Amino acid sequence: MQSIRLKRSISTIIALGGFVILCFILFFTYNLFAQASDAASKLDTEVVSLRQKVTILKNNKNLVSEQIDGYNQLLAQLIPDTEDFFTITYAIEKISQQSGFIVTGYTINISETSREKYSLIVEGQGNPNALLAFLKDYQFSGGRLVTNEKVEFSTEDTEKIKLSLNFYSKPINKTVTSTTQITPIDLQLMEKVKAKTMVVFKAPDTGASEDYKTKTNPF
Amino acid sequence: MTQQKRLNLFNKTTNRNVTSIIADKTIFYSTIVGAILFVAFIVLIVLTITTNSRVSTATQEQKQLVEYLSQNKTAEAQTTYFLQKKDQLKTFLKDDAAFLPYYTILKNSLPPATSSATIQTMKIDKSKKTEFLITFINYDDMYRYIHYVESEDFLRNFESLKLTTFSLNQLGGVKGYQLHFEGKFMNLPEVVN
Repeated sequence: MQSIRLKRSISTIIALGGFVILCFILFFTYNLFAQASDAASKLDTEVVSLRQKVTILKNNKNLVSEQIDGYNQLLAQLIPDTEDFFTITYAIEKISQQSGFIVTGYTINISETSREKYSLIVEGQGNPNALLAFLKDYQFSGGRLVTNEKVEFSTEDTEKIKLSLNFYSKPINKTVTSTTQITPIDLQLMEKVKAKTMVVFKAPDTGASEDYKTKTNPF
Repeated sequence: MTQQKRLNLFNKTTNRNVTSIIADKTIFYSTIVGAILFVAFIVLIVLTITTNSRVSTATQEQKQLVEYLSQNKTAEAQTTYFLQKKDQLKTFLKDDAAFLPYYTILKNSLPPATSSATIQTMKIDKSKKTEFLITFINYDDMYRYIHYVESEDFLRNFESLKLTTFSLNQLGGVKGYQLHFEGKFMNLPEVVN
């Protein structure tokens, strides 16, 4: 009777012990699974974002691989990272020459000038056609982006016309990588701007031709 | 009445039986729960193995993608520069009144093949609020113009438009009719002049 009781007790202890050990193993395995699952979900999110980035980059590369250098040069010229007053003066002179609208002077509009925007009040004279030509070309043809917030056109007052022109400069945020797709609409805009700017980008100099006669004796 | 005394001979046996029943039940339930836990353990092991294999596949793909991006760093930088500058361009262009397309709308609305009508003045700001003064030498042209201005074809260019003044003036010794309008143009999709 005593031995049966002992056997039963041992069996019970073994069963309970096994149960507890199994619980521990299960807890440990669950932890392993939870860690793996957490890592997998984090990795999945990262891979999805990377895949999206790569797809966008591939598409963008396919769309603008040849033109992008030209577009970037053009955009850097239109909106430089830092203000360049020489290009402002040059732009005004160029638009004036092209349109026939004679610019007689300009003053800084301090109240409208900010870090990104340089506002000038340009005074000039010219006939209505010259003024119209100026108003047609001012946005890009000077090689800088120019905007005019309010235009007052008159066929009568052609002697002392005042125009408020804005020039812009802004650096890009290098820490942010764009995850936007370049669209055909963007390219259309760039082509239009390019046509308006009329800037001829020179092809890189490939060096002098090597097809010439040489003398072995310099004397 | 005498109370009969009895001995409970089964008392010990009952105690023993309860212990053994508890022991039996403990073994029985431990075995069942243990079996369930074991199945859960197997399931968890399979899931962990599958997840680990998913992690290793994803890690490999991540490696390839990162490698592609690092190989194309220049292209990525160029694209980023282009997109940010293009956005700047679009934003800054919103400051522009874009006079010419709207002037062209008005110019095209004037009676063709006649010099009797001219746009005397035109004001427009970046919100596309506008004022314009049109003069006519010829009464019939002015009359036809007023009819045209009321048409759907012309009014679709405006959010609002009203004729504020109508006057009869001497224009360079000639009788002239002046129409002064105020209103707001519809935004044209084209931002470049």
